[in-house]
Order: sequence, then structure tokens, then C-alpha cells
Amino acid sequence: MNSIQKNRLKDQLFKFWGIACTLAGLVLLVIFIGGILVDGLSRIDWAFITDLPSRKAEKSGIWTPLMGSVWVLILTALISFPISVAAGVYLEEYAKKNRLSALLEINISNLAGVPSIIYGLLGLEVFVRIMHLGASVLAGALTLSLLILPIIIVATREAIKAVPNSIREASYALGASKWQTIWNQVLPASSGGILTGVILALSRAIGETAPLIVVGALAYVPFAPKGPLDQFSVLPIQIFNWISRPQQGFIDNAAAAIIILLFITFIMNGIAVYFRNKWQKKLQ
Amino acid sequence: MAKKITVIMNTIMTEKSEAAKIEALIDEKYKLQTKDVNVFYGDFQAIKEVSMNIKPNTITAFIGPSGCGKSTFLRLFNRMNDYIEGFRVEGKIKIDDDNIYKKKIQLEQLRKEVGMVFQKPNPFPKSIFENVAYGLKIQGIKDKKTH
Repeated sequence: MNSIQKNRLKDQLFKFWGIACTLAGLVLLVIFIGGILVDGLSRIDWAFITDLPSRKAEKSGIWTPLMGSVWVLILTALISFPISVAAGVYLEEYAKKNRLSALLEINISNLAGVPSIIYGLLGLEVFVRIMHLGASVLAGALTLSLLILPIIIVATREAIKAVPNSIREASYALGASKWQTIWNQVLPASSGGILTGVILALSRAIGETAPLIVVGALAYVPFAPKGPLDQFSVLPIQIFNWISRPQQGFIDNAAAAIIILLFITFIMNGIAVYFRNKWQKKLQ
Repeated sequence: MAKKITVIMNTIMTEKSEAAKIEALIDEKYKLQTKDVNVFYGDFQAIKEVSMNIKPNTITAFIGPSGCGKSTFLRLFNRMNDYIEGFRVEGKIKIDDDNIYKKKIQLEQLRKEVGMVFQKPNPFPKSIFENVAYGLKIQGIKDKKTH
């Protein structure tokens, strides 16, 4: 066997290894989703979505945790979006590049990797106890906002970095102030990237369980929250609760709730991909 | 490189020995005046000792090999170099006898008055109307009719 044949063999081997690795992930995912669909799909109907929780598995619905998730998600978006985008704009456009900003940058990236339970403990102390918000939707949303702040800040900075400098210069050369340049040119040009980051961060927030359990989200809430200070539950906690029950009926309920949670996440990621593609086309 | 531009500019505009004369000539006859301008990007000196005056309503061209500092020199007049990291300028640059590198200068006003066409076409990723109207829009003019 000469060296060309050897190299080609290596090439083929690596190709098959790559295919095997790709399939390993996909197969696991298919088994997981398939199992859930078999268990839960028959359970999903309109009543399952709109029913209140019950002691009987077949009468239980996900209305309260679903509404809890929606409330938490909307509040989290409202809180985290302006704060983190403004922080990202400041760090990228205004802050001087020195040691302090480098330190800040490293720490923000580090924050994105802090275990979510730590944020839960922080939220428990600051929002629930010091600010006296109690185990409310608002306390949960504030905690999740903290959790996704660094993610959105990093995404915002990347999106702003990708805006070519020539656009800024063209704007400055016409006599625009820094703020006018950012508002009229930089932010519109980077909005797709920022929105992608926000949506991906929110779809992480919707799946978070640990910090909300610490903050005090309940597994059983009789009514859907009507305001930001009401007690609440969210879908992942409801799933966790059902899974830990011995009866098969609740296991099926959990599978059905997982399908709905996956569906919401899927839709959100789909929207994120749509914005990203649109944004890339615009910049080219 | 920096030397080259000095030489070229000297041949077009003035000679170094005339530096004293230039100072004497600083009057309203000239729209743009520069004197002993040095530009640095960090440690690199991009422009060395350029002195030149330009009269109003004239066309002046800078000629030189690529990288000799033509754009850097041009960009001095609306302070576009300020955004380049490590940029530093020495000497005097005056428009209508007013030092544009003084501390109190209003950059927006300066750039409104000193128009600039970039080397490469540089449109905003927006509609043509938005591109044309942007300069007026940032001055707060919203009326679509002419006055």
C-alpha cells in the first residue's frame, strides 16, 4: 500500500467515525423523543392544556404551570432585554479598552458559566428576603433575568462587533453624534444577532428548574397567577413533580408536558434561526 | 513612507524652508491651514512635518504611493482618525483660522461642515431614501419638502 492509498484509507476511516458520532447524538435524541411521544401524545388534548391541577392523573392539566411559565418568561424578557442590551452597547461602544474592561469581560463570560442553582440562592436572599417579594412570579423572573443577563450581553457584544466600522465612520462623517450612530445604524444592523441571543437565552430560561425551586416556585398551585406578585409554578417543576410520582398516569402526564415544553422551545429556536438568517442577508 | 509624503507635498504646496513664510501668511486667504503636522499610530509615525495651506474654492489633489499617508492626512480635517486606536497628532490644523484639534471643538458641527467622500462606497444597509436623508435626519430636519 503506498502513501496515497494510506491517506485515502485514513480519510475514509475518519469520515465513517464522523458519521458514527453524528448518528450517536441523533439516535439518542430520536429514542428520547420517541419514548416521550409514545407515553404522552395520547394524553395531549385541549383539556390537558386548560385543566387545573388535580389529585387524579387523568383530570390534571398544565394550565397553572403553563401560565406560570408564560408570566415568568414575559417578565424575564422585559427585565433582562433592556439591561443586558444597554450593558452590551456600553461595553462595546463606549468603554475604553483597558485592563478594567478586560477584567469585566472575563467576569461576564464566567458568569455565563455559573451553575444556575447559585443564581437561585442569590435570588432567594436578595429578591425573596431582602426585597420582600416572597415566592412570587416577579422574584422568579428577576432571578432568571440575572441568569441570562451574561448570555445576552455576550451575544449583544458579538452582534455589535460584527457591524463593520465603515458604517460607523460614514455616520460620524455626516455629523452624527455617538448616540445617533448607535441608535440609527449600529443597533438596526445588529438587531438580528441581538434578538437571536435574546431568544436563545429565553429558551434556556424556560427550561430552568433549579433556581426557581430555590426561590420558592411551588409544585402545586391551585390557580394560574394573575399578577406579578402571585405564587406560581412552571412547566419544568410540574414535570419534575409528576415524574417522581409512582402512578403511571402521572408519568404519562409528565411526558405530555415535556412534549409541550419541547414544542415551545422548538418554536422559539425556530424564530431565532429565522432572525439570524434575515440579519445575515441584510448585512451582505 | 512618511518622508515620501512630505516630499510630495512639498513639491505641490510649499517648501520646508518656507515654513516661516507660511506662518506670516496665516490670514483669511486660506481656508485650510496645517503646520508641522505629525501623526502617530502608536509608535508608528504615519505623517511627518507636513505644512500646507489651501485657498478657498480650489481643488487640491494628494498623489503618492499606497500607504504613504494620503488618507490619514485627509481624515485629519474632520477628525475621523480619532477613532483609530493609538492615534496621536501634533502640530496645528486650522479651518477658517480655527484650530479644529482644540478641546472645546464640537465634533458634530465640524463634520457637518467638512463633507467627506470615502475611498470605498459606503452605503448604510437601508433604503436609498434613508441613505440620502440620513444627514438631514440627524440634524433634526423631518420635513420632506424643501424650504
